[in-house]
Amino acid sequence: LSKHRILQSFLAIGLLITSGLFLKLCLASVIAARPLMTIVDLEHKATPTDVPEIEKYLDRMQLAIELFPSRADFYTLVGRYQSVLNQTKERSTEYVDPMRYFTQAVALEPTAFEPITWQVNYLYQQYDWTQDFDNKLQIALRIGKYEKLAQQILLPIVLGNWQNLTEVNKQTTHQMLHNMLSTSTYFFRQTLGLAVKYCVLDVLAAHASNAQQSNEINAKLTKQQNCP
Amino acid sequence: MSSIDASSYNNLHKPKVFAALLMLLSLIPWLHGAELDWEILLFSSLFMLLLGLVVLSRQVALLSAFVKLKLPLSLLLLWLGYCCLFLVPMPIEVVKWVSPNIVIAQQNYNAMISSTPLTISKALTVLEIAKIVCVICVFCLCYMFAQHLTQQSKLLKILFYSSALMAIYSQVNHYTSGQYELINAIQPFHSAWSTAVRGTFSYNNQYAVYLAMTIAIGLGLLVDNLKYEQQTLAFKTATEFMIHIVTTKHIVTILLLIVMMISFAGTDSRGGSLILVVATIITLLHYFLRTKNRKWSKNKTLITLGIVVVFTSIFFTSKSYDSFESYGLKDNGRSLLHTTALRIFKDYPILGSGPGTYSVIQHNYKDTGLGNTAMSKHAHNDYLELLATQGLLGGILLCLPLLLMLGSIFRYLPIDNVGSQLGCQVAIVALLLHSAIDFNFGTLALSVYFFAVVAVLLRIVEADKGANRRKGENIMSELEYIQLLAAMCKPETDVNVFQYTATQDIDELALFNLAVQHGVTALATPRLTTNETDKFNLFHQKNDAFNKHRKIATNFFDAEAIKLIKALVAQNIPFVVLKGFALARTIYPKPSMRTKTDVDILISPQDIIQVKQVFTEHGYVNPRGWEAKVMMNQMSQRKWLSDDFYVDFDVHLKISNNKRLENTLSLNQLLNSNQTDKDTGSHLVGFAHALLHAIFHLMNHRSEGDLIKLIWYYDIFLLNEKLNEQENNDFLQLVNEAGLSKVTIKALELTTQYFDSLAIHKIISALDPTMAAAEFDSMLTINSKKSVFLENLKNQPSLKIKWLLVKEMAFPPPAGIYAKYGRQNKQPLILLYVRRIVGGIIKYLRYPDAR
Repeated sequence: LSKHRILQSFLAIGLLITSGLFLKLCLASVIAARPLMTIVDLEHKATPTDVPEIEKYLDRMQLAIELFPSRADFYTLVGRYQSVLNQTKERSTEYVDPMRYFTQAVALEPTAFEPITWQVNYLYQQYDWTQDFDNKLQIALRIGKYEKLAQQILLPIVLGNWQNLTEVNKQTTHQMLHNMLSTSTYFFRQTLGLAVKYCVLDVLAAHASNAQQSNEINAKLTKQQNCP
Repeated sequence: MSSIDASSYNNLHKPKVFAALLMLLSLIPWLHGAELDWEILLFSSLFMLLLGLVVLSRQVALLSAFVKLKLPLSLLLLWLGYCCLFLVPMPIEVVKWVSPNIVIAQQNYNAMISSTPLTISKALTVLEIAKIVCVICVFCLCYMFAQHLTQQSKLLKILFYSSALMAIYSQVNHYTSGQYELINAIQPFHSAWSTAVRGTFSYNNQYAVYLAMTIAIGLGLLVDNLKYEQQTLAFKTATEFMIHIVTTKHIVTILLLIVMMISFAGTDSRGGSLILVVATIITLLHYFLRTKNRKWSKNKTLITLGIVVVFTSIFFTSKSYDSFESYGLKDNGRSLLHTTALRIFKDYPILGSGPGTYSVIQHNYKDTGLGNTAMSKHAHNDYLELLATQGLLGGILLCLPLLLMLGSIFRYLPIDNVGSQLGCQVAIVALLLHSAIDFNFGTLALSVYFFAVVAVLLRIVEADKGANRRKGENIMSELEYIQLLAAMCKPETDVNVFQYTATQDIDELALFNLAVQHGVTALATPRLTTNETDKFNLFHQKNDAFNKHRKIATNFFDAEAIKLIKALVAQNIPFVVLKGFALARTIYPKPSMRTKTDVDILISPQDIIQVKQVFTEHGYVNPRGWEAKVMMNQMSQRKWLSDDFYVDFDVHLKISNNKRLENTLSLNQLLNSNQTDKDTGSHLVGFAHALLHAIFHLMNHRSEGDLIKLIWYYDIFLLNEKLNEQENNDFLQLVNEAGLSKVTIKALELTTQYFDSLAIHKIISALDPTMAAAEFDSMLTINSKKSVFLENLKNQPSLKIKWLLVKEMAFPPPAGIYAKYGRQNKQPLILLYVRRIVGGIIKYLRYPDAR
């Protein structure tokens, strides 16, 4: 055997091993595909009867993480499933805090908006408003202010707690509102609904991107009752 | 004539792997163009597996396979290595120094970290590396497999037909509002089928550029095929040619192209439409400005106008035109997206944020004017996205190999298969231009297609350069003339193999003389058509006239030869007809296509008296006037039919005059083959034996420095094509038994320089050079006459016979001298001997190459 032949054989073996490695990662993505598609439905209408399904998907996601451990979105998904499971009345498994999954996801992709948004969402639902939460909210708002998912999740939190927000967070929220209102009527209506609900129409008023939006906000303001 | 070094040659013959490669190439656009993570990883894994299998094969020596691509491939691998470096955790101090913003991003969340990789997302970088590995694998595979025209053509065709099928799928869904949709678009892309045609891609702009690439390739292939058929079938009128197009497979290709154009126009992609036009103009301008002959024939102009009219009509009734009317050339927020990428680049200038991480960093930099759409997950400019994620270093590492490869492609002026080459060039330019306004390389299928096309084009360019074509020179060498003749001789294939340069002035007289000298006038004629008459008019006239005479002479020659052969058969003398006369009747479509000057037969030495008697009875005489006893194992017989016309027979007692080869094939072996001439009832040499004979006959002449006729190479080419599996095995066995494997490999490699064929490469790869006998090694080189003579002398068994050989060569009997200088010559015999010796010395001095 020549030196070249031996080197070539090593290269071939390297290629075959890497091919296998990629196949493993591919398998992880395939395994995670179904849980990813189902989570939104379960988050909206999970009942105790869905527990076996949730547990099945959690097992799948654990396997996916084993196969591809650096995927932040896998950890986020496990965190979301764990939250759904915790919210169901008849938990069949031991309680697991989803926080560690969200934390791991944020550590893996610190600049991505999804993990921090889901983490903030979970903290808001489960824990009190703390300094740490404020800091995390600040990061989430800064990173995700122009992203649809972050807007959908964070907007109810910030509008519902307008008085608790720091100045920095209020400013970032203004940027977010400006972005939402100038994007489409759909987002304007959604935001308007939330502003009415949380009595912060005056916050919204400054961001009307056209006369129609101003008129609608003013109309709601005049009709607004039961607000302090 | 240059030869190929057997040790550096890679005969990659793995039909199953090649079929798998074609299948994957055709499949990859069908799964969203491999957009999802699992699709990327799956295709990367499969392409790597294929490359791994090929590399593992003994047929490939990687170092020599990529010898011409050492630098660009090394740079590509360096780029891959650079990207892998991003995954390695490094001490925080080091990262702070090389890419401080990575540390800031990490410490925003965790201030206690002591080490971190250079990327902000390991998973996304792994996915990007998978893409890079995939395109490098595809590039290597396509480059290794695209050795021959057939494989190049197959690779390009698969890209075209897969796209054509997708265009039909798109049209069906467009008119049924997506009722037959197999692949859903991935969010945020969700344009309705009735609004925009998008194939199986999520993003209609990517589908548009995919179509632009494959339309250009398909059009190029069609042009080449039509041109080739126009030349080979010699249509007299344009109507005849048009009828031919409409009634053959070409109409299917044309219809598919029309469907693809309709789909292209329906993509609603302004950029795509514009880019195809711009890329075509740039490529054609580049070609025509570099081509000295800038005259366009009437036909070419009409065809081009026709294509322009069809395309324009389709475009003006399409969604894309509506889109132009509505939006003009508005950039749809692209300038803001580009600004975002530049902001990231400003923060991560040297190394970038990590390969593939644009989607998880862009929102930190994007402008509010972009709204909250997920479209901003890409910079819509691949170059800026590359700079943002891989930094200046990554940009340079990728640009260098690309520039090197594209440079060698675009610096080269296409000679053969101009249509395909220009089509591929348009595809490359279209993708590169479109990447400045969209994200094409982000979709694996488009990157894969780009690198596949680059690899095939590099192969085509290399093949032409290997044939010593000199760019910018108007004078063709003799080798180039012979190659031109070889191109004229090639049998009909689905690829145009005959298109000769407009940049070179062809001396048609020299070409004709060479055609006569190399015995290919009958083969070269059918390839010359009206389309090339501007260039080959004189050649055509002379060749035509010559062939008319030759055909008449051949009829007389054959009739007389058949008479004699029948007489030998009637006498029950065992003999076999060899070489030209036999091959003309077995492997050529018409016997008249194989020119010949004599008839060679092999007889048993014990029948020589009887054979001579038959010849004498039929009026044949020995033209030499004497018979050599040692110098050669044959005798000549000639019959004069008129003052200038005769029939010659070479009666061989052994298969070769070369002492080392004379026992390679025996009469009994040859008689066992089943080839029988229906006209004469005589035995014709079988294919396996004929091939071996043709090879050592050629190599023997070559080693002696004689002229090697192109027709001999053509015989070898045709014989290879004709061998069935059994004959193929018989041939390999014969070669190995004779110890002629090295000689055979060399002869076949020489043949491929003129007549490349997969069958020949198959045989080369099946032969084992270690089975060769060392005694034949001298046949591998072109030797001097002196060394040939000395070797021949050495091979004689005794001193007496050695002396006889010298005597026969230097002092033939008077009859031989008179036969040479004419029986009526009145000069003294001694003077004729002196003339002969002086003539020999002059010849020796005049042709130093033959020494």
